[in-house]
Amino acid sequence: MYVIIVEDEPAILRRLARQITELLGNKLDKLRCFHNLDDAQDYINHQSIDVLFLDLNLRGKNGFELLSSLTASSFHTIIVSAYAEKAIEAFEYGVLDFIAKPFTKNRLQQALSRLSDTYQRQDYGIRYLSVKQASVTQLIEIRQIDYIVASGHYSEIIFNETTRLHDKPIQKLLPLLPLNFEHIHRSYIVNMNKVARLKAEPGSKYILELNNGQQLPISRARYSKIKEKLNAYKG
Amino acid sequence: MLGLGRMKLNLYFIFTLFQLSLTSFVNAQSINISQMQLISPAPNNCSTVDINNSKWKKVSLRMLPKHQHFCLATQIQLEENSFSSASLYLSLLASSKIYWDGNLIHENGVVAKSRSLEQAGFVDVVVQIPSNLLHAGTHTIAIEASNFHLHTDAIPTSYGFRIIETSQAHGYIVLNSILSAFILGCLFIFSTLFQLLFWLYQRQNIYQIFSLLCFFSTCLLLTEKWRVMFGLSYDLQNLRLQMVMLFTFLNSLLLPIFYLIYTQSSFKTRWIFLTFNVLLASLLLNPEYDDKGISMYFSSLLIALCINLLALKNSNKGHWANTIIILIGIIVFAVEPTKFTEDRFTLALFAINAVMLVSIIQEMKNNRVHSLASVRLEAELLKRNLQPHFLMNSLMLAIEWIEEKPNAAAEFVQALSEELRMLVRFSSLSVVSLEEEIALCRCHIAIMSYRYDTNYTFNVSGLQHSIFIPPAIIHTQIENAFSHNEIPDDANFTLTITREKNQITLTLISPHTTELNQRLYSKDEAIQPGIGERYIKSRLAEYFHNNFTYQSFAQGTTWINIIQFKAEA
Repeated sequence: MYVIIVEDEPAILRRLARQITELLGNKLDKLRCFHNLDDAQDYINHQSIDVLFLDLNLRGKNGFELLSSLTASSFHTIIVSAYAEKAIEAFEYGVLDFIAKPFTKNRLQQALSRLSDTYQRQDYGIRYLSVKQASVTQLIEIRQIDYIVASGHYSEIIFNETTRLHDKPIQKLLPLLPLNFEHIHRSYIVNMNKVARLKAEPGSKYILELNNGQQLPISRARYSKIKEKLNAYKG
Repeated sequence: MLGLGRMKLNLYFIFTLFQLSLTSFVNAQSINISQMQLISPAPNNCSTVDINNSKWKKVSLRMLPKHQHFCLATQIQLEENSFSSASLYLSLLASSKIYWDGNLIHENGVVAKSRSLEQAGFVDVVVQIPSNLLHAGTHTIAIEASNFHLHTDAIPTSYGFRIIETSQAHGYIVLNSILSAFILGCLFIFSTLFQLLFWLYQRQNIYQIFSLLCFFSTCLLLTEKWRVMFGLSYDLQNLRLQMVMLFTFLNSLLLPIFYLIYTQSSFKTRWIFLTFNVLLASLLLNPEYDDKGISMYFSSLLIALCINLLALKNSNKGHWANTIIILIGIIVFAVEPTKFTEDRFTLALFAINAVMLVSIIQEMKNNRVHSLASVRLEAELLKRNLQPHFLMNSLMLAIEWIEEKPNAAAEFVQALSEELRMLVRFSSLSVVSLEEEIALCRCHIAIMSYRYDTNYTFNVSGLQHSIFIPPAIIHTQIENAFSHNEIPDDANFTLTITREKNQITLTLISPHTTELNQRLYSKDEAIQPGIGERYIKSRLAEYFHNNFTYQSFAQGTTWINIIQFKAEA
């Protein structure tokens, strides 16, 4: 795993680096530390990373101006900030976690566990997914999304009959999304609130039909779980 | 409907009276008598003594015999239809009997040949002359008078003797009484109201002074107008004049004191001493009561004008309206001092007090705005400096050091608590000494040095003592430098204090990173650069009013903040 940390206070930066190294153990491939955002951004532009630990207020620079562009990237962002009251807003922009200062090692551990696929998602109310289009960042409201489909290393987000490309693969998007988003197929994540019905087709093919008539495939392995969920939603 | 009708009627009545008195003042049909024939002591019957008799002596009414029983007589010529209805107005310090062509038309008190038999009459008398006696031709008016009850110090005199239109006489009396009663009522209410404000609302000296001023103005006007409004027995005239002097003195003394307090003059004692002496000199050096009163009130107005002009010049608390009303008073006074003391005095006194009232109410409003602003600034200081992110970041560092460098952790927590303690104390103050402010700045720079693991320095040059500034303003400038800049390691902050006469200049030079991108500043209040600047300006304005300048600008790799203000006298 490739981790970078942006923190302007040296002692806190040292602490973060030390504890992340201890917690990730041999899962950590590389760790880089930056005192300011400009250097970090230069680095990110040329290097692909997995996780960014970011302080929100770096000497007067507003983290929120950067958050939307960062969360549109392929890596996950974890905020480490003393502005605890900004957590909800940060989540709305699609950060993976928000660690309030002062933090404990346990809290750091909890945040790192979100990076793994097995992590149980919580409904923490993400409201937007940010996507970059021709260097402009656009915020897509989560509840408008119909479904997300894998597209190589990227994802395509389909909403209101529009398609936008996101830099994160769907495996990385899933932990960000609320519980009403289900992984129905290796390549599909669907917003269960938009589902009209479940259809069985000849040859043990299962199809999920959305309110707008769009039909999506369900993998056989996930069928029974989806059916159960759908009954819960519709019931 | 009936009430409205009655009100209309009353208004009509007052309006008519007003018009009547105005027109009669303009087309005054009157005969003024200033000299008469005198026989003293009086013969047995004044009315029948022949005016051509050689015993008569011509006298001015301004100087009459004292403690005597005497006769006055004169002849007047009336033309056809000179008056539709005539009244005789006599103002005389004596009991009197008035005869018109030998007919007794009025008896005022009991005229007698000795003090024990005499009964004091009123000073002012208005008598309507029976219409059957008003034919064209020569008429003889005789007055039999005695003034045994006159005070030893009093001058036996007449303040006026004339024949006027009856409507004019009544109009004058009624108008004068209504106007006086109205103004007396207003002044008395002001006085009571401000006593209540002083005791029940706020112990402000200005309320007490204004209340006393209104009270003594009420007393002065009441004693002044008593003669016209209620009639005054002539033996009390001297007492009345003494009371008028006393109240004029008190009014003349309180008027400048009011403006001294209102304009927050720095030399109150000197001004009060000067006023007191000038008034005392006016009182003692002038032989006549009228001159005493005029010179006291005139000096008082002049002193009040000087105080107001000085305040306007220093621009701190000057009030144009006060200055202008006093100036008008002085001009009117200087043009016709005697008339001023009669009719216009009441209006002038009322106008000055009314303008004072307006300025006090404005002051009350300002106080309220200030106290609200002050509370808001206190809260802002606390909020800005005890904001969670500053504390949380600091606690994070403390936790790290407790584990890694326990000694440094202890020192850091010590510095942090020192700064917090000072800030909490500062937040309830409106002013601190420069030494205290510098101590707070040093504390903050030490904490930031710990946090950024470097050694920032703070150099202070110039004399710090006896300088007072609003709390945490330099601290806020330093804090701004940290929150909006990437300050290089081991950077230096410099505070230079310069004094030139009364002018004090505080110049803070902070490191500044020029590539700072304004776009990246937050719209978020907690980290917005404008908040700190606003706090500094509001605090400076609250303490120095308009007597300060504040500049804040970048110059190369430094940020410069300059505060200039006048030292306390």
